[in-house]
Amino acid sequence: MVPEVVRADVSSFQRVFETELGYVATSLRRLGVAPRDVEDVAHDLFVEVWKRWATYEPSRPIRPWLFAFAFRFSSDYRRLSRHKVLVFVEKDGAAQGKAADELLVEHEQQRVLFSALESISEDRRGVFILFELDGVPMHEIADSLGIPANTAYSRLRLAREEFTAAAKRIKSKEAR
Amino acid sequence: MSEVPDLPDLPALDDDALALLRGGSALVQMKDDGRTRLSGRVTSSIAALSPGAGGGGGGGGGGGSAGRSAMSTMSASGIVGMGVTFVLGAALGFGVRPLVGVGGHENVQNTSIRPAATPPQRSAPRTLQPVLPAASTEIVEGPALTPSAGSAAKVGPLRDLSAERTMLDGARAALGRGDPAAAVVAAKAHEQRFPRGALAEEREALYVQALAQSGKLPEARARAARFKQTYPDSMLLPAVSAATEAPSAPPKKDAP
Repeated sequence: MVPEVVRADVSSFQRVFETELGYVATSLRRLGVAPRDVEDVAHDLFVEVWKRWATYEPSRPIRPWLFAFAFRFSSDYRRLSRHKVLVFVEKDGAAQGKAADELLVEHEQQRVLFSALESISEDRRGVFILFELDGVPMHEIADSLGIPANTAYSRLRLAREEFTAAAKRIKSKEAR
Repeated sequence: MSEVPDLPDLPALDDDALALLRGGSALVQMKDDGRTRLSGRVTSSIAALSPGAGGGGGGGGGGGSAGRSAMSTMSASGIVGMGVTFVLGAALGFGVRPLVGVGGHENVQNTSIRPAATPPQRSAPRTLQPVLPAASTEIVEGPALTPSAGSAAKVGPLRDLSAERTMLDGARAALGRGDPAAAVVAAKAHEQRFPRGALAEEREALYVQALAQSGKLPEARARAARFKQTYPDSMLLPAVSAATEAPSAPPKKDAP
């Protein structure tokens, strides 16, 4: 007989994989993982998630927890010198279900955003993404990333300055 | 975007910065075949982590060939037939099932996807049933994808993949019930029909195990040697090696 508890465990992991793969892929891209490497990094990430599945507290939101994995794996990824170039060489995604020009605009907007995020130092970027893009409360961010709340606030402040400066640079470049 | 009434001292983002955030906030989506392959890779790696995985662990390492090697580790390590079916891959089908956010943008909110109420346990073995790798992976930046004409174009190859998988499932099941002779027959049938099929690597691994368990060690070792030459980076290598090195024994059928 299959222990019901194991079935539930597997089932819940499967559900998270299905529903959160897009979020994980997005987080990895925002954290600087190149499109061609997202699958490999996501693979390693989900295997690690499985290993630590027992440590997940169901009463907590899943995304900050998953983001902590994404943050760590993208950090490791970026330390590898082979990934330090061509980070933003995008593949031409096939248009599915959307007009090609519409997709192009969205791709371009994402590319610009990812590029701007690159201007934020690594430590601060995680806080910034979680707060500004994922809408995670600061206390959750601090908890997920394992940093004091004051540190999280401080990082967000500096990250905002860096991101704002990047946005200005991008706008002035576009205006030329 | 977050409102920050609780952060009065922080510099506010100006309009340019906010526009930049809003413009690029859509979720990245992987194409269906990439999702399918990834699910297979994850499944396979998790199988290798299971108790009794025969040294096939290590999380897959993220190598490009890992996904191709996804299948069969389970039977190789004696997990087949033991119980829980890991339906991650099977549930994803062959790339046509809508997955995350299909049909529109998914808000990246502070959602809570809760695992089952029962606490997870790791002690029991699992039978994993991954999907098979597909052609190519590409990350599609932008909105979530909808099933499209592209799916229809894949029907032919996918049908072949489905047939391949069915045949190898038969071989695996035979190994699981302690009938290596039937597994050899199934693997041979796959070889005849799909000599260079997408699952040839998985078939060969199964074939080696089936031969070894049938007591045909010389034949198993010859095939294992060819396997090592053909797939030097295969995740299935530990299982293949274990099958030919260890005294042949049928897999356990019961959880410990």
